[in-house]
Amino acid sequence: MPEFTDLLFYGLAALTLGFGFLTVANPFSRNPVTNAMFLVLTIISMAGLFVLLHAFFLAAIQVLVYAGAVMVLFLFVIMLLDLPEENRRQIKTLTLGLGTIAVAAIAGIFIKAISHAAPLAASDRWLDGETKPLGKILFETYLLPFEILSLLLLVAMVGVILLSKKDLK
Amino acid sequence: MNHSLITTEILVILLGLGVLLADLWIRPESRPALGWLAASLLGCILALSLGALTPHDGSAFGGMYVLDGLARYFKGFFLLAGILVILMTVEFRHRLPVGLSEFFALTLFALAGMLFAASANDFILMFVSLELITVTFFVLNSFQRARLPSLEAGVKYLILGGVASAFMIFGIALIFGSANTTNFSLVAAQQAQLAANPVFLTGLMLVLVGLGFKIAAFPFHLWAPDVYQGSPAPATAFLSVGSKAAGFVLLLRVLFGAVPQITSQWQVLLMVTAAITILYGSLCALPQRNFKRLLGYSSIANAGYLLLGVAAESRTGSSAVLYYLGGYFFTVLAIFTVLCSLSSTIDNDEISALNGLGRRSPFLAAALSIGLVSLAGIPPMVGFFGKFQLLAAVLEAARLAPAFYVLLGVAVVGVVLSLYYYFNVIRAMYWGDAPAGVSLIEVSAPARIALLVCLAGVLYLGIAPGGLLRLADGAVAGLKFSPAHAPSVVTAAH
Amino acid sequence: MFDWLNYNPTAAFVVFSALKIGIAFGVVMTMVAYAVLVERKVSAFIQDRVGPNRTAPPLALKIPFVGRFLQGLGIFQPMADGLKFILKEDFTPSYVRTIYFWLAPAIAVIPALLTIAVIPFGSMLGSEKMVIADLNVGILYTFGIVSLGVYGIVLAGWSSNSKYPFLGGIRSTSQMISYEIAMGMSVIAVFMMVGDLNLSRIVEYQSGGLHHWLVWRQPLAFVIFLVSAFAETNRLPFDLPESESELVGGYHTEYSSMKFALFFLGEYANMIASSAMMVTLFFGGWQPLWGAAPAGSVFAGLTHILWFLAKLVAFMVLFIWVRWMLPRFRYDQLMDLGWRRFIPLALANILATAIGLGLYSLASN
Repeated sequence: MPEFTDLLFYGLAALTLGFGFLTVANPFSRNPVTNAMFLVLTIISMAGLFVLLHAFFLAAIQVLVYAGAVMVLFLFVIMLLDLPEENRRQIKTLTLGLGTIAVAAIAGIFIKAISHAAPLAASDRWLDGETKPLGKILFETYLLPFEILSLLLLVAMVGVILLSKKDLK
Repeated sequence: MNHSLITTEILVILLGLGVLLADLWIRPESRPALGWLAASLLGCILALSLGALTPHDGSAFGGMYVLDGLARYFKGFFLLAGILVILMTVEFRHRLPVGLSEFFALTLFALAGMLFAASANDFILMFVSLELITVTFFVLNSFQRARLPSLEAGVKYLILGGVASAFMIFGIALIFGSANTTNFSLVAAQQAQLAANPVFLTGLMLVLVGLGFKIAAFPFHLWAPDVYQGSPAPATAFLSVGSKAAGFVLLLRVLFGAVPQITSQWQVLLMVTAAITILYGSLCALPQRNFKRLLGYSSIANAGYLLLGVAAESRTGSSAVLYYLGGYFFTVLAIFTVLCSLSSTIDNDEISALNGLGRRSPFLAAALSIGLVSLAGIPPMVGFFGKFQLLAAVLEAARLAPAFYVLLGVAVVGVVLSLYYYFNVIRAMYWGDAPAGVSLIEVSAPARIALLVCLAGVLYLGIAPGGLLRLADGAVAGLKFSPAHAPSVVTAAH
Repeated sequence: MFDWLNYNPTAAFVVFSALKIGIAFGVVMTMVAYAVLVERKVSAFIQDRVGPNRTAPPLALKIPFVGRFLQGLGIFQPMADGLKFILKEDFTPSYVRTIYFWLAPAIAVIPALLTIAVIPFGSMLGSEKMVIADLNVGILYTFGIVSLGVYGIVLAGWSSNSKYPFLGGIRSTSQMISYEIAMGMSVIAVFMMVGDLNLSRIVEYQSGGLHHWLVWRQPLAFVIFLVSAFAETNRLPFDLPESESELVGGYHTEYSSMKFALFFLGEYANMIASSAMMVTLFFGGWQPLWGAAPAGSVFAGLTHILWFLAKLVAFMVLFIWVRWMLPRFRYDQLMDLGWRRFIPLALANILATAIGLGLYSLASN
């Protein structure tokens, strides 16, 4: 009999994939808001997967930042643009064929890779995901990338202002 | 820990922040002067970084950041590119109605990203510095936001860049998962096991996809023509010189620093990519009517030539890549400086707009011609010697793997095709009819300086390539190539 | 009688957790109902009125003296209000986007209730810790969950498919996200002092009496947190999402009956959660004024819970008091306050705290 956490993992993984699928290809609705809401659910299920890995900080931040702030802004924009329901596209046979081949190729590579990979030892399943170890990794091992990211955010801010401000002098 | 190694980067970032802040207090009409100031300060940083600033090689941040010959070569390269691009921007200001200072600052930030990329010895640092470059270019490419082509360029770069980044970070995740480290040196230490690990190989492949986007190699080249055509000329110039070189330095570091053994197994993949990239770029460039779009395809073709040197998987090949990039740098910047100088008088980038340039401004026409001739690979320009070096590396590799002869043939075909489309432009300048009632074109001081520097580089390096070649050869000394190509092993096998 | 629990820790955990959840839920619901009454009574007091003093169930007035007194206090008013909400017609306008229109009120309530889970509302009762889930990332969890609450309002505004609710929803989005940043940053300084995200340990850190409370050590953080809490709960002076004089009722204009009541409930539950957070972070949690160790006896445990509730109620009254004392901000003033005053102040506070802690550790070495 599988362990309870295993069941949880499979459940959450299925939810993540299912919601992810509904985000990009929802057969029931072509409404962009619905897609965005499914993306929120995907993110929350992923946070659940992080919890199973004992990466609590990451899980909380995932919900706080992505579900709670980024996606709200997405919704905000979608609602302000008042996008109409998307038309169902006519998919050409060629596009469909090429798309299928591409997806099948990538999926094939992944399946082959994963089926040949050695499973991890049970002790490796849990991360050192508490706040303190994570902070140490972030501010000691990966200090330089972390600081570069702050520059990246500055660039993003300058860029957004430049590209979107109405009357720039 | 040796944090002083990143002094150059810190100074560049501080300069960028300073420019951003200074803009708050200066009058709009003195913004070009700010560009002059930034360029000259960058010149000081370049001069200092050659020696005084960071006298010793070494690594910092737990081996994540290395300062070695390769890093120094590319840092010098990027800093010089930054200076010239800023001068170019000053020249281009008539088409940038808003945010000139921000353009300088963003150029400096992208430059900082490139400087970090040159020293990256870790997948995470590589990803982060590439992101800094890419995100900055999202903004720079769409800078002329009132122009639809510029916005188109920005959006296309954004979407494809986002996809490429997603591939890369996913690949890095798989690499970390299988190797339990992101450090190039630590990955290299456990190559033997990793070469048999399909998860690691998948991750590596995805990382190469991301790098392929940066250098615009087939089949990740789709953005190049549109982005080259639509972006402001200085941004395009920086993209084609800096961003591409950053991609190549990382490619060299990953392939020959982290996983040389696996690289030797993937040689065919590199060869095929190089061949298709050359052919695709050259063939698509033939019918182009827009000069910047033509340069986009030419940049794809040049990525192909550079990949020849990578595919050769030898010290000669890699040093040829470095040398070719050095020559390409002066050539491309010369061409784009001419475009920027023309920007105030000619309002489109069609080749036909260059008609009669030979009479309107002999200087600019001569500079553009020299640049194009060099790109086409005709002696005594630097482009010739660069291609010569690359082909020499291919020939050397062909002694071990005859398939390289095919590659040699492809490269020659590409060169012949390129003669046609580059000379098409030169023909327009000297034998095209100038539109009636146009005047002479003035060339301003910054453009004159930038052009003279570039032309001097093109001619000097073409005539006396020894210095740069030695430099390039020294720079790649730290890279490891698969044993099969090392001469000692070959003689042992005999 | 409960011996079997000692032999089976899982069962004990499930039973006690269920009990704690049930009781906490019940207490919060009751507090919501009576917070509305307090709100009406306080507003009446401030405006020199009497407030609700008529409602009484049929037999209550038969009780001599006490019945009349309770009627005058309006004790029975919440019951009547609740009944009214349930009995009213639940009307869904024809032009709304139905699924989201129905989902929105639920999404607005659930996060507010989930927040309560990590708050230590007492020390110990017997051998049981008085917190539903003693998470190590407690406060981050709270922020994460609270940040989801905005979806209820946004979706309500959007799905109503009419102008006023939409404007309310949009206002609320930007307001809540903006103040979440200031709020989060103000709390960082607190963590830096405590060195932990676990709320129980933050309370522990403040043991030893009144002068150990973090409000004295981080006054700026507290002020920012307090003001942000008003914005996060959409209460006056920041009730722009529902400002009745401009937007009719904002995001809940089109709602009626129980769905409207759920928004109401969400707002008050949010107030309770924010107050509980403030008590925990800055006012010593369940600690009495003179400080105390975790309770050894059931009686001490109960007094600790009472202390917590008393502080909580004080904050609730503050929320209500402010609502009737201050006028509404203008929208640009609100944004200006959030982005250009509080966020830089909070950042400066983090820096100052870091420098202070650094100097302290230097001095103590």
